[in-house]
Amino acid sequence: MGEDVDTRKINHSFLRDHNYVTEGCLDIITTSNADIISTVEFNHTGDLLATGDKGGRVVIFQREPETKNEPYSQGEYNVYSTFQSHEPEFDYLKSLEIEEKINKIKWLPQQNAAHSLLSTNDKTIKLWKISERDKRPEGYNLKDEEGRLKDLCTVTSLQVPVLKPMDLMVEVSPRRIFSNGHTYHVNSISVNSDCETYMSADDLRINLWHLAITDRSFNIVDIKPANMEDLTEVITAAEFHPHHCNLFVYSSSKGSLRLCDMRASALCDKHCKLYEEPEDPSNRSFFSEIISSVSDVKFSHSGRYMLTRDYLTVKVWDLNMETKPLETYQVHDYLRSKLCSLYENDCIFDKFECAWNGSDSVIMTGAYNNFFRMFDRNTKRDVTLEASRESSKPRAILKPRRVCVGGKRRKDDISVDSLDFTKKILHTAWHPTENIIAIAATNNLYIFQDKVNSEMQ
Amino acid sequence: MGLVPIWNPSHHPVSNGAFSGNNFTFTLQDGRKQNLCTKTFTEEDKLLGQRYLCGSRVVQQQETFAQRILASCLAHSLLYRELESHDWKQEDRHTYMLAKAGKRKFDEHEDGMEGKVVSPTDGPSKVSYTLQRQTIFNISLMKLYNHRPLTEPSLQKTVLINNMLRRIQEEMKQEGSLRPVFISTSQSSDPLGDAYQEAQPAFSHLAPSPVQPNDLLSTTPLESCLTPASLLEDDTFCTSQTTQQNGPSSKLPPPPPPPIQPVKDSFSSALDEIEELCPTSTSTEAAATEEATAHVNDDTAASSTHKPEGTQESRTSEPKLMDSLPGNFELTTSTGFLTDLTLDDILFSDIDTSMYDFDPCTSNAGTASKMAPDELLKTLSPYSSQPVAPSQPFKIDLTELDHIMEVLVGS
Repeated sequence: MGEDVDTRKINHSFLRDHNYVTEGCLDIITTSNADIISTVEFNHTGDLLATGDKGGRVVIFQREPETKNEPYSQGEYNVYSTFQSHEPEFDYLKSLEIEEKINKIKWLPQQNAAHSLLSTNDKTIKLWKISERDKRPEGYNLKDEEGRLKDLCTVTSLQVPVLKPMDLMVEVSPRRIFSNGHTYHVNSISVNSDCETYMSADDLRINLWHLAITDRSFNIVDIKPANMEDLTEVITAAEFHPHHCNLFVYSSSKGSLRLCDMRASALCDKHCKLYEEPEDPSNRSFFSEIISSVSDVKFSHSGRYMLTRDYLTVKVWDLNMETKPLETYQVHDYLRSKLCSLYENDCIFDKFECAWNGSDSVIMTGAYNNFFRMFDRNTKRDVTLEASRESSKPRAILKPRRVCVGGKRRKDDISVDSLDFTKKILHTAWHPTENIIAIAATNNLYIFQDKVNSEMQ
Repeated sequence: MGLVPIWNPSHHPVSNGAFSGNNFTFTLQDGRKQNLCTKTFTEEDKLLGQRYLCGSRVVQQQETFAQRILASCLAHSLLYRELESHDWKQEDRHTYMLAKAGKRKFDEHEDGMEGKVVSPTDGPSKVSYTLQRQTIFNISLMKLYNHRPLTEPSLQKTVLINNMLRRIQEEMKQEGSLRPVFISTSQSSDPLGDAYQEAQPAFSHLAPSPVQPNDLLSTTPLESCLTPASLLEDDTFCTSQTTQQNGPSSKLPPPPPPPIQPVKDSFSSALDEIEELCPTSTSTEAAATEEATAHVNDDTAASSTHKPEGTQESRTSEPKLMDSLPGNFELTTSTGFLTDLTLDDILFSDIDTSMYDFDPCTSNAGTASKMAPDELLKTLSPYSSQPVAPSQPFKIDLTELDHIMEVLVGS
């Protein structure tokens, strides 16, 4: 695969109280389309990080345990396992290719020594089991070392097979394949807090699955109009509430969020809460609807808030307030005057994701030019950082970047016109408890870590 | 700058394009050299033209460097002409800023080349709302036509683009005829047959009615008729039209009867039965309709290659039928861009229409790939209200190009 795990340490400062260090930069040398990372996800402990790419591969990184020599050093993330999750398929009925691109990965809560994750492409969801083996049985009576049956004539004595240690082997095996559940493209999967069910959302429907049952799913939301001509809105993302197994939220291309309670009825077409912000008339334009389309929705860890990303902003919603978001942060408002170009080159349809930190106090989302943004909800400070190999030196502090939108251009500022719209950070993930972030910049994965945090420990 | 080439360069392949002084020289496909005066172009235009190519814009693979520069320049030239001739009565439209004007305002404070540009506008206030709307409309149409072959286009994107088109359509409908200057000026070069010229007065009679916006819109279904997805769809579509038509169209030859209708019924009912047997209800339901949404235009555009010979006559008659039907305006607009979809949805929800998909990359669909942009071109061209004469479909004379140039350069 031509991977090169770069273990250089790179510092950069985020605000005053956050100083992130690059934990590692996975750089896939080849630049084929298949290597473009399409999703990033930490597991529940944060020790494992999974990425999916356009080639249908899943790469899992494991955080190295702390060494005795440096007890307080943070372990680095190294490749733990790589496997092909999805293969390209062809739909012969519709004469269409089904891409192998991994749209989403979700980890299941760990219940035994093995880890499990769900991965999905446009149509098919798969449950994978990742387990370790460091011992192997030896001394079978009827089989030889290579597993072949022995000639019974040669068996003259009985012995007890023994387990002998061997090199650690990571085995990945497909446990379930949930197919034929979606007519449209799956955009989200979310594991329920009951740990037994999960949901998958496509453009028009949301299905509820049991993790053990592959041939049956329950349709819990269906917004497909009787006449497709009347279709004006699609589902863009969906997620279960982190604590209440009956609640889930889904976002739409019209910028609204619908909270549904599965106790209310089997089919949750009727939402119980609708979160929507009235359009600001001063910012009205042809592109109002497109830029209000929600590209990602994430519950906070506390379950009290929801974070949504639309094209130009990230918003924090209080579950108890439907009329407007609690907080709105501008991600790259300077693009507002460029929407026509962005529409023409299709960038306006880019689906940026967003992430909460472990304490729900900082939010993060991506932007163009390999920039990503962080917003501190308490201090209201924000920072733009760049994930790039060129600007990263070992243990150097990553300078906050600034996009110049007029007036005097400071040194090192970058003008809006020189932003590279082909370098976009769509997928980001935050460690569930620590200040470690994973940033997917096309075919590079950057992992940054809070420097203060690591030095204080 | 987000202006789409009003004139589609991929249809007039250009090579060896270069700026020299105030001229942009390039060679047309037939070897003729053309000289485009770029006096109206600013340095920024050229820069933008360059940037057009260098990544910030996703372009057609077939386009060459020069073509894209040219397209960009033409687009900008159009913009400026429009700005100059704008009557500034729509001051209340200021909220709709054109991207460029906004940026220029900022850039004036900066050093560098862009700062020195003397733009024809003082700020966002004087930008033509109409032109921007037309541009966005054109871009949107182009987006619906162009998608990667063999892959399902994103439904979300298609829906958003459709909503955009609907919105603009609605707005045009309310405002009545608001045709951008550059379209009406080139009306004189109308190459169409007399029959169509005769039809022209009929349109102008429809006083406040939004005929022209409708024309722009009706081209989509119109094109569908020019190159129908299949006999079936075509016929059903046309019969549904004819049932509601009156007046001018009555003198046109009636559309051929739908001969394969029974076949289709039995087929679809058979599929229904199959579907009933299928345990997973969600999986098969409306599988084809999604596709239909996205492929509405493409399906029909590409399918002419599959069309049997005998339908030639009907094909020629249909555009007339549609075009000379100001009365069916409501019908057309109400169904908008999803006219075919309606039919697909009702009649063909279980039938694979993908064989009619527009696929610019496969060799056998080569004609189709040329066709689609051409149709688009027509929607953008002054002749959008008219169907192209069937004898020379999808071909625009180079003299027209010259004329367009004239209009653009305005010298």
